[in-house]
Amino acid sequence: MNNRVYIRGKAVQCALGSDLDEITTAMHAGRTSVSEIPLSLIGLDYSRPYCRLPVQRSDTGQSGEAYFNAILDATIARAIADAALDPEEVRRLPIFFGSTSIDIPIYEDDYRTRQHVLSQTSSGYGNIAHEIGRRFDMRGPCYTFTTACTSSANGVLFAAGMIARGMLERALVVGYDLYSNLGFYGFEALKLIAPLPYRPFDRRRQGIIMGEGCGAVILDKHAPAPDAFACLGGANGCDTYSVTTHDPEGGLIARVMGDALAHAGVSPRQIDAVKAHATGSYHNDLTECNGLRQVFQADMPPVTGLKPFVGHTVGACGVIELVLLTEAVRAGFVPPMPGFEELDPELGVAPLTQPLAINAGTFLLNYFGFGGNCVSLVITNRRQQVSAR
Amino acid sequence: MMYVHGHGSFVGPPVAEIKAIKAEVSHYTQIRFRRANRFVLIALAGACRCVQGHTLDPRTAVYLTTENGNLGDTETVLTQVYHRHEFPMPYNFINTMSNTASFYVAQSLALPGRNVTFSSKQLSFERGLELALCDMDGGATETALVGGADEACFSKAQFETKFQLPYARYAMVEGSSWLLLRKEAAGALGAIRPPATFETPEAAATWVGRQSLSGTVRLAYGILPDATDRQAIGRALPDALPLDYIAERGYFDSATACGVTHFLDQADPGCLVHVNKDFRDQLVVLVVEKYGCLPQVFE
Repeated sequence: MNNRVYIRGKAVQCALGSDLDEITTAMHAGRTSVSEIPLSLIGLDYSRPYCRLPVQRSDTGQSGEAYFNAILDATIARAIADAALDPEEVRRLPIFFGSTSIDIPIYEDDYRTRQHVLSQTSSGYGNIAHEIGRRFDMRGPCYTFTTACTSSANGVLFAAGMIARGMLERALVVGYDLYSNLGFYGFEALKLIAPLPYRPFDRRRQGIIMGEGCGAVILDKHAPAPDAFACLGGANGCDTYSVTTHDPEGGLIARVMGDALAHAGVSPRQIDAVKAHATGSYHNDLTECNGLRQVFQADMPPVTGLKPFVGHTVGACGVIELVLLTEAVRAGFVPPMPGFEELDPELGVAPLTQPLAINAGTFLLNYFGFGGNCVSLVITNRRQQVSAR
Repeated sequence: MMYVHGHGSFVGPPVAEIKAIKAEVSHYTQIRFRRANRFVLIALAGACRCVQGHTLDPRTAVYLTTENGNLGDTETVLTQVYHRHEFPMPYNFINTMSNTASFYVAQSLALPGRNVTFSSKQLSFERGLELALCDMDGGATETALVGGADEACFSKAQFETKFQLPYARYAMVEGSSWLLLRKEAAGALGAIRPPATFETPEAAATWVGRQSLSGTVRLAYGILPDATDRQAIGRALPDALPLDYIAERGYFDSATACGVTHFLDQADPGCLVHVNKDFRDQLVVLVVEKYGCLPQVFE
């Protein structure tokens, strides 16, 4: 049975912009885009780095809601155009939406003058997808995932699963998280935000640099082109070790990676490269590398991470990093991990420091989050079953 | 088809102090949830009641559906940042991510399998069942805990603005209701058929009229189906008995889950036809079978 589910269209808006060619050029050159945000809202005189979108709300003069919807709708519209969907295909699209902040960026600024805005105004987690359906006249069912940093990765996993089972023909999957003070101050309260430079997996890593962005993909049962990327399978699991951190031994993470490979019908030796979650936090990187070493043992494939380019876009990173990786490979390379310089012997994993030349391959993508949530996806743009490295 | 092997519910009027909910949860688990908030506790209480007496496969998947999640902690954090001008308290911040509730369900029941917190405006429970069905059909899991959990969050003005219905007609409750579902038919209490989605009440009625429904048929509605929807569906099931679980149990945004467990708990063996609708006028029909005293085996 062919369980391949193809990426028919895609679009992204992130700190590197929205032009996919420009984004891949920046990634090939190892360019990143980071600004500093002061913590003045709580009276502190220091700032923290953040990967912001090139155009901010203040540049547009829009209301919070108009700005929020403009970014979302522009990204979706470009993905639909990229997929060349006809109006009837758009009308029948199901919507899979993943986000950590959901609609908080729309409302939170109103807290400067009011209280209880969210509980009086928010229309529930499912409202964003519901309103996408209204604005684009999409009549398919809506599925909203709120599993912290794995939210939109779960959207991809379940959309691909439902298409593979014949429950759906195609689907729109969106990952979207805009800057929110709730998230920024919350991560800083947990002492997770790092100063520059951002360097996941490095011995001197100091934490996460957050980012904002929106990614959208159209998944389809039918291949739009012979070399189109397809999702072969994936897995989800819950590490019950702690609500904030995974078991540092990496056992559950290794199991999820192994389940994803088994579901995809791929052996570890057939993976050409791994897109690690690689947040840069001490615990996350340790756990992930322990898991990677259990799965790949002495035959570790090339490993990279994409967060140094666009920041950790939390719930949106599932789709955003999927688009960034597939676009880079389409352009002939797997990006290096900017900022990495010094191997951490405790991790034992050295990520790419130069682009890896490759235009066809099979890749493992990892996503982990608060609440123990773990997702791994396996994708390929090889036409036939993959061969071992 | 998914088979119902257990069900449980913790639903009632909101209590000011969460100590009572903590006490309820402490009957079922030794884990101390010092940092757990109201949403986490109501999710846990229903889940624990559902699985009481069952031995769970550790790969049991958890699908927690909710309309609103952890509203309380989100309000608290935004107040801390914007009004007190201080960092959020770490556990308040962590609890703003609603999958903390599904995490604690997994932790307390030792379930490291699939785990999702999920929403779909007014249709969260039905769509959550679709996810579970997909995973069972695809072999990702053979057992699933599917629940709906929500706090009572409506003021009169909010409720009437959202639903265009009189607030006084409904008792507002909160809680969670859960189903233990398996691919395995043997020993089942009942079954759930795949949810079916329609764009018009006529299409839904036509489909309902073609279903094979054995035993006493009960007909129930979510909060949004209107008189036109009810007339169309009612004509397709002229002999069905009404089941107004919202009148009997009260309303909260996970009422559908409560309606299903209410049927399984209270009604005679037979079928429940549950019709729900979202604000885009999408109708979803759920057919739940409740078996008689003797477990039925179809496979």
